[in-house]
Amino acid sequence: MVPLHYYLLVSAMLFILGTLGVLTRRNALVVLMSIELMMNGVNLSFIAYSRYLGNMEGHVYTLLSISVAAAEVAIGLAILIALYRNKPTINIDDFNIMKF
Amino acid sequence: MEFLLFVIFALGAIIPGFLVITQRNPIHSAIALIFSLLSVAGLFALLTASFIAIIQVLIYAGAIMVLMLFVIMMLNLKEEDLFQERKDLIWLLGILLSVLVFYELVKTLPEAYPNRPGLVMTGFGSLTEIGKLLFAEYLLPFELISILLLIAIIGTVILSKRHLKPYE
Repeated sequence: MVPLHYYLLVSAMLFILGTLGVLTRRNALVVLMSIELMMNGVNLSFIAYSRYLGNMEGHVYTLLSISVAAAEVAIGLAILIALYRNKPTINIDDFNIMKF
Repeated sequence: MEFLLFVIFALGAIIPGFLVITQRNPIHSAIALIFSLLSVAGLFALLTASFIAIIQVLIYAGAIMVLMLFVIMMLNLKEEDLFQERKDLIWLLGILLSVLVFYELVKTLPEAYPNRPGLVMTGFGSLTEIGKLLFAEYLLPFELISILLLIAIIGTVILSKRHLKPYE
């Protein structure tokens, strides 16, 4: 019998790792992958609570969250490719022409 | 037995997660993320969420990560394009804050309310039960998700065009 807070701690760990990746790495692809890691942490939290409360609504939220993640990855990668065509770098520090 | 499986899947989710954010080559990060996604699908299966576990493997690890790998390989980054990222104060500060946040969570989360899994219906986690909710109470989000996916398709096609010729 696994207590609920074990699942929540795993979810929090995934979310923290994703946040570290988004804020620290300068490679645009790794930033996108860290965002996916964060969303996985949140989905795990939804499903864990859904099981422990006996309610199915967490599953519906997770399904919608996965759909949104799919759409977001597609658009994010399309934006990345469009940027790469203009300036052939994936270092997000190099996209600074709007800097004050 | 359940606890052993939980430990295996939890470590399988966290350790590749750590590898995702520290590997220099984005292909290594993507493969580590696939392992993490499959371990999270295992955790879903442990939580009796059979349909969501299968959807996680099919869509997340099977479609989203394949799309990312396609794009990584299409960009065709050479070794000199992979820059050396800064390894300095930012990482140290980030790890310090993360440890602090995680310590606070370890202190407060054991009071999370349903400590034992509740009694659930026979078809818990099956597609039937999700369908009962999705087409009754959550019909509006369902329709909106379809519109969102349509917008994503249109946006991806437009953003990938080579030249947008001006209208004459």
